[in-house]
Amino acid sequence: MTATELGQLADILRSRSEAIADRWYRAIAPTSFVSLSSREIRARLAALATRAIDALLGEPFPRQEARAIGAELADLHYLHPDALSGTQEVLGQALLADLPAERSVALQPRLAVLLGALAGGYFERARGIILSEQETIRSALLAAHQRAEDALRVSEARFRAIFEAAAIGIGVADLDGGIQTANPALQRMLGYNEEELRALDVPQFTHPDDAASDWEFYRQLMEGERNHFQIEKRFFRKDGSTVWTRLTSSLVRDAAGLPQLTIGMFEDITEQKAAAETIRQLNADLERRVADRTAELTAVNRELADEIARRTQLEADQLRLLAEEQAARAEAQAALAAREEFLSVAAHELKTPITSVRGFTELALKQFARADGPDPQRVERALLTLDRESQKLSHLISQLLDVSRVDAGQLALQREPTDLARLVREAAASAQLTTDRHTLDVRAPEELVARVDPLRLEQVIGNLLSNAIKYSPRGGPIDIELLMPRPDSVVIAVRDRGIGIPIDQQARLFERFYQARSGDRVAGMGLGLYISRQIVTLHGGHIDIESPPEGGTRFIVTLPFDPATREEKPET
Amino acid sequence: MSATRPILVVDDDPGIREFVDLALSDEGYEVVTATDGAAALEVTACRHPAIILLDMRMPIMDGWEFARMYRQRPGPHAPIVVVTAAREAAERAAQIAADGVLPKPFRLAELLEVVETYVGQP
Repeated sequence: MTATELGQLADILRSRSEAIADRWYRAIAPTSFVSLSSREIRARLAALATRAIDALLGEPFPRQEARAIGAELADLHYLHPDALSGTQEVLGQALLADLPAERSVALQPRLAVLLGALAGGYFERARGIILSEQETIRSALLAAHQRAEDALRVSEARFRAIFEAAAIGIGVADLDGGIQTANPALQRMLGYNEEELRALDVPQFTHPDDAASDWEFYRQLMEGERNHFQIEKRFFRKDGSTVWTRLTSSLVRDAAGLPQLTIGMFEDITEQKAAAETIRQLNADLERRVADRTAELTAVNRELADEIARRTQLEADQLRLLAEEQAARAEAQAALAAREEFLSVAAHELKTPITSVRGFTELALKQFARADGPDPQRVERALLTLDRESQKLSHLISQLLDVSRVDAGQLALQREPTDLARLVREAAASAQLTTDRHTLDVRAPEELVARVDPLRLEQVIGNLLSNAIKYSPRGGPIDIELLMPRPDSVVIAVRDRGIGIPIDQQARLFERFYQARSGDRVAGMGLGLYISRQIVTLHGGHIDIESPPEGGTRFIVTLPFDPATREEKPET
Repeated sequence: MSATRPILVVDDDPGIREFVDLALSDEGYEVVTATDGAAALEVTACRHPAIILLDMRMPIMDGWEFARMYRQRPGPHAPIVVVTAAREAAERAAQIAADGVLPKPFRLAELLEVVETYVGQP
């Protein structure tokens, strides 16, 4: 083929390069592994197609270029087995299609050489890629292995260091208790070296009292109910002495979860135990001593309490005696004061009539000193007054004696069947004689007999009537009533139309010597009411005062009445 | 003048009234008596006494009330001499600011002396 012919052929083939690239792409793109965009792959395939056409027509045949194309195809397609066959098919058909027969024939051997070289380049590159990747994987595996080994070594070293240097004893045993390894701390704790320990089973140096103490825990460990347990447990040392340990035990399981080994960590708490025991003993001792001391103190306290109680009793007795003494003294003083008061009142009451007696005596004597002799009328008047005042004095003295008897509790009644109607009528008639300004009006039944002290009751009625007269100085009616408001009581009431008594003073009227109180400005009723009330009280009755709205005062004597006595006739 | 002014005796005890009345009448004095403070006030409404001999404890109106009401009236006021059986006679007199006091029991001469002191000879 001439150069001209080759040039023409090249033009023809180059004009097909785009179409070739399209077919090529469709043939291999679905199986491409490279991370390129479809546009990029398409562009590269177009470039490779042009280079393949140039190589096909190259003179001499560019073997290296053809291999390079194959290598690049391998790069591009990343070793898919379909890539090379697809490529050979596409290039074989597309490059020789529609060429004149003589040209096609002439190019056939060149095409075979091209495809062969291309395949050679392809495989060479593919082999390189595979080898390179294998190497990458291998070295990565190596590195990872190295790292794991390093980590393991570090971990083991750490663990070993911990195991060797730990202050607490660590031991590993099989499930039968056979010791596999023991750290130095455990060896020191038990007094055996590791060799000797490996020859022992744990039960052989376990304190018999504690042998069964952890069986239940081991059962729970084995059955997965717990991950570890902790107990305090005694072991025998090689020298026969006992060591107290706090044992923390856990279980090591294999990949299938079956128990393999037990790991025990032992803390020597012998000293703690001893200290605790010492403290316990000290505490017990202390408690005993406290109890002893408390007992002592309790005894002392009891004695003290007894003593205090005794003294309190003594003081109470003394206080009581003192109070009694003071009461007695106060009573004596009150009695003394009462006697003083009595004497004072007696003197006071007697002064007025004595003044009259002395005065009239002097007046009478004066009559006898007259030159023309005494005036008989004057002398008679003086003597009459003397007689009246003497009677008054006598009455006063008997009243004072009554008060004295009342104070001494010696006022005694002499009860006898008495016609009260008659008693009242006689008392009224007697009082009427002393006044002509008053009209005494008696309302009483024909007869009303009761067991009373007639003289004392007459005294009461007389006193009420004289008070009524005295405190109604302007005169008027005085009503005297005798009635039985109920079958078991008798009432004697005396009512005047006088000045009345203010309510606030009524209660005080009956006080002893009320009238005589110094500084007391209310005119009183003398000793009479006081004595009257005592007499009525001794009869079992009471005296009340009423202030009728129309004025004046009404004294009401209420006496209990025994109907059984009604039939009795008074002695006449 | 003094003869026309009576001596007022205020006492609830008839014996005292009678004795003082007789004793002073014998000496030539004019005597008016009252049984309590209220009656005495009635007397002083129409007579101006030369002296008032006043008992303290009386029914209806006592000496304290009489003295207070008597002094509230327009004057002139007669001197008041308290006549009392109380042990604290001077105290009673002071309570009503009396001009004098005549404690019971008193004798005829003491009565005359007191009257003469305040009224003079009849």
